[in-house]
Amino acid sequence: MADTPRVIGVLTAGGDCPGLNAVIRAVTTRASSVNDAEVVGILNGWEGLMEGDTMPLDRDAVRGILTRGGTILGTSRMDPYVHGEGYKSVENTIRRNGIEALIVIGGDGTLRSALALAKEGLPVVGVPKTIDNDINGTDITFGFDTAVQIATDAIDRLASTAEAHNRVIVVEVMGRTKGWIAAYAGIAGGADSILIPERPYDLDEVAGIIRARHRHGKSYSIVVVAEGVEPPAGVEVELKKDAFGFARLGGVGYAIADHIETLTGFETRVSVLGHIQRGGSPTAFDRVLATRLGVAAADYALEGRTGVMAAVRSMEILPIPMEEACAEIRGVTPDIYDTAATFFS
Amino acid sequence: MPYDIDRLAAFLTQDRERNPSHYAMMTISEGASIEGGEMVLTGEADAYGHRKLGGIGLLTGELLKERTGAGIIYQQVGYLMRSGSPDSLDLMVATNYAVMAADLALDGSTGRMVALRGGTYTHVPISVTKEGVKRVDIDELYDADAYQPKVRHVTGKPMFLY
Repeated sequence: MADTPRVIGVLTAGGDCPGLNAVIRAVTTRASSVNDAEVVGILNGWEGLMEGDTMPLDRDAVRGILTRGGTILGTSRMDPYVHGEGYKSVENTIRRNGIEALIVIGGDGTLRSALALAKEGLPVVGVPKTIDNDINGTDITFGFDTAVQIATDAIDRLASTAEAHNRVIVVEVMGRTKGWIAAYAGIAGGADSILIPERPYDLDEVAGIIRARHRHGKSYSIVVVAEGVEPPAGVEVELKKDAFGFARLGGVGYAIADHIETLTGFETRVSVLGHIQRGGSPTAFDRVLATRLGVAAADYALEGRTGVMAAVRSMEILPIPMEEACAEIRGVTPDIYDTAATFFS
Repeated sequence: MPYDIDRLAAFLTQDRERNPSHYAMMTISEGASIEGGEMVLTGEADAYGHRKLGGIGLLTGELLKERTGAGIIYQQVGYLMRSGSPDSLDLMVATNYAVMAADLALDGSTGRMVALRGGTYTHVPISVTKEGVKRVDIDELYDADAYQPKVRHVTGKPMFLY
């Protein structure tokens, strides 16, 4: 453990996520107002740390940002270990600003690099960030509740239009390689079928559910599909990779809709919810969670901890070794899927 | 009106540079077309001879990326626009239309359509719909050089401008 740092840096890296500003505000206020430490905001993620782009943060700088989507620090997909040489590429900025500890708010790719910097000697504390809720070591991530709410609102709307047109609507939601958003929004939206990467699916079964609904007088259906599911057999969906090596997903809903239309003969339409799931004001739950995590991260940094992330366990906030975030990607547990499947009819 | 993709790219680049948060946003109608191109249509014609519009946004995004090199986020709003519970204005107008239509039917009227003209409820011959499609009055409401809405003179216009 390091000595008590007096200057703390903070950055947000990777994709946008509702609640980022709430975390920044909590970190800044806890560190500077309550503990008299200096807070240096790093702009645009790791890029700012590599290029020396910073802004001072104090209570006034973060007033009013609790409810705002986005991040006042900006973000990027730069990485000091992909686009630089690790600690060497950030050393100048660290020294020039006198940064003694760094708080990094990011996904598992970002936290992997944060951990590597910690191993090179820079004290680092992480806050796990993703709307996908798939970071290992924490029960839940901020931004997830907001994304689920957005997806649920969309499903509610689409259900009314599906019913009016006697159609099947396939709703493709985010979630990267896991089905958290699909499962939760599917349950909340009363979906008739939910396809998640954690479970192999059979479109004949899905078609059967849709036909059965028809026979019972419900001439419309909603199928929720996680973006990360395998395309139906024989279909190629092109994947690109981002800076952290993660495949760019999206579009499998169209292939699935085509198959469903062929199997059932019912008009099938697709709504890919896309980036609206990431944006906008965080829900109350996410504001509270993000604030608790930011306060905890500031405390851990000021206590001289390093290589830990503020994580949730049974709604308590604890310092968990950052290695756990990088160990694996957390998937939907069977009990949640079984709850959803109760209603597939 | 069809748009010039290079002009659009230049506008967006300027907007982004002038914006302290370094981004620009544009909206595009599904029926928009690029100068020299056609509307992007897909699929078979339905019983009314309409084919599905859609895809111009994606195409525009790709062309902008080629021309500006900027990261593009493309969000199609699609069915989300027409679905869900009506808001209070839509509820009020729909209810009033229903009352008017019922009265006309009970009076033995035929061949009429309930309508709003200049902000006032009225009814018109159904045949009026055959006379053409209602388009945005570009001269009054749109700046064709800057690709922006331009609502400059509202005196005398009804609340919803036409």
